Amino acid sequence: MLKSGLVLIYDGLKGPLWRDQGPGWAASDRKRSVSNWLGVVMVEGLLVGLKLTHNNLKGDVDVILAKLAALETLGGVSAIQELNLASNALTGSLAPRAIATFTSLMVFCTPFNLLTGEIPSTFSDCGALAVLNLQGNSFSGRIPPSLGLCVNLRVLHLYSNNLSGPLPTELAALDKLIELRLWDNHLTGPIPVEYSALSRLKVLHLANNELSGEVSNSK
Amino acid sequence: MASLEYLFLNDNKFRGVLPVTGLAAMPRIRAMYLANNDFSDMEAAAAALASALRDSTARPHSVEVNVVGTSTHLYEPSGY
Repeated sequence: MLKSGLVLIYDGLKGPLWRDQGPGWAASDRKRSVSNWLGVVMVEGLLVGLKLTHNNLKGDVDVILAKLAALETLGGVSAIQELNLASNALTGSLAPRAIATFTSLMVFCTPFNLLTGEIPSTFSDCGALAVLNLQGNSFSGRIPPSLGLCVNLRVLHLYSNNLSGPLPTELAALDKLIELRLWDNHLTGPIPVEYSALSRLKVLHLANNELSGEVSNSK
Repeated sequence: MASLEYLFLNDNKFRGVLPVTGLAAMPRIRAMYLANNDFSDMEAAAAALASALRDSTARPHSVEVNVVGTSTHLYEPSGY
């Protein structure tokens, strides 16, 4: 079941054109255990990670998300903790329903692709999410206030997209947040005074937006 | 934001008086990029910020500040 699911991902994202075919993926190499396939992370028989970065993956990101979501709902096949698809040529948008199935998700990275649409509010269903990196795409719409429910979030990188609207006050609840990088978007309005509660924040990068208002001394 | 080390607010439309006291009070700050906003009298604010940084608690590292388009180290720890 798992192997056939991974093969569908390979076939759906122009696998023969991947820069690194790695062990496992190519048709001639599929007899080996999936735990040895390039970018596949298995723990005790469960798929927990898929890391296919800088590898010329081309096509709709939903090819991966829908297949992984289907595996996740089977039970006993996968419990995805890390999905890293950085620096490929993936298109399409992130399906909210698929994201909501990844209840073990800790790291979700799709930076530097060609993704569009809104950032799903359903990331809030991923209670363990610690790293969300979506920078360098063409996401639009507002930053979902529901991200404030991701109480384990430490890194939130949404820079270099087409995001608009205000900085959600709800993000002030992320008391484990260390890096908030939202630069190079079209965000408007003030910095919520509530952000002064972000006691662990080391990096606040809001440059090159349309933010306004006064910056209070409590920042 | 007691842990803040890097603050980038440049190239926005922030206005009013630069909150010099609050910025200088951040004990771990290493870099502040504030240029290209609508803050009032940034030349004077830069001078006030430099003074406030010198008068604030000693820090183990320098503080890079960009308020008018060029970076300046407005604070250097003693012996730096």
